Amino acid sequence: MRSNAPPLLPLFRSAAQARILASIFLAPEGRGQSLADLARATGTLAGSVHREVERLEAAGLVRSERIGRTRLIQPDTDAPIYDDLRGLITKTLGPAAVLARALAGLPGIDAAAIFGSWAARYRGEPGDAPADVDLLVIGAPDTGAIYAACRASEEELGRPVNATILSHDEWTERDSGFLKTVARGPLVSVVGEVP
Amino acid sequence: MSLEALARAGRIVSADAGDVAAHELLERAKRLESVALYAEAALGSGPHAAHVRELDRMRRTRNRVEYDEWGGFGAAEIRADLERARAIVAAVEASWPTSS
Repeated sequence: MRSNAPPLLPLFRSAAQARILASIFLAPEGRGQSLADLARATGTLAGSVHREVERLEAAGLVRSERIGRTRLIQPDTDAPIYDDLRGLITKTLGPAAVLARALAGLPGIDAAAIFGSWAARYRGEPGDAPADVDLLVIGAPDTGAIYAACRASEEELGRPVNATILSHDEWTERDSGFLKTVARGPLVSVVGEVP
Repeated sequence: MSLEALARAGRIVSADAGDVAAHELLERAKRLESVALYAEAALGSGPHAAHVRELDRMRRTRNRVEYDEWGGFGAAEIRADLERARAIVAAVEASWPTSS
């Protein structure tokens, strides 16, 4: 049977539906997004985003606010299942957003991305549920600050976050099988773009 | 090649890099495991909780490098972790009961 369900959370009907929910629920608090924003962020056709948002609003999971001609969508924080749904989305689809927040403002980071099994499932590759999140950090940051950010994120994500910190040269030279494997595999951007 | 030498050389260590012979890695892992268990017991929680957390992270990294295709680390991590390891050893030594 062919399934379009997201590998990280196959409870949802489709990967697009999960991406739209994630984009709405993982946005910084109080930041509404237009239908066009959601379409861009999720790589989904505007018509599909509109239909999904209509369903979510009818179910009381999101709410809309009109500012001028723009309809801004936010999670409905009064919904009885808001905390549960947010937790589900954060733990499954949220690592990139959570780590981006945790790493924001830390000096010395040129780029950061998630690799490994979580990145593969996020990109739609089938397989076992990821046991942890593998984070690649490129630059010359304070290693202790990176580990502290990972520890802070682990609680929210409910799984270990393992950081690999490399200088720009170490990453571009890729003198180990491990780095070649990482570079060949899927990467999900967290900070900037990995070169 | 010692970890210090690797750090000086700025090399990346990974499960398949071939920098360290497999049997040497295994022996080192066994020694590290014993030291780690003792250090964890000696430091416990309280003021040394941060040391225990660091030790656990380093042990996790070691396990991933040895057994997981997604394990590796950079020279800056090795240098910083050597300092952390020295601080942990110093804390363990300070916690040893002195004979009177």
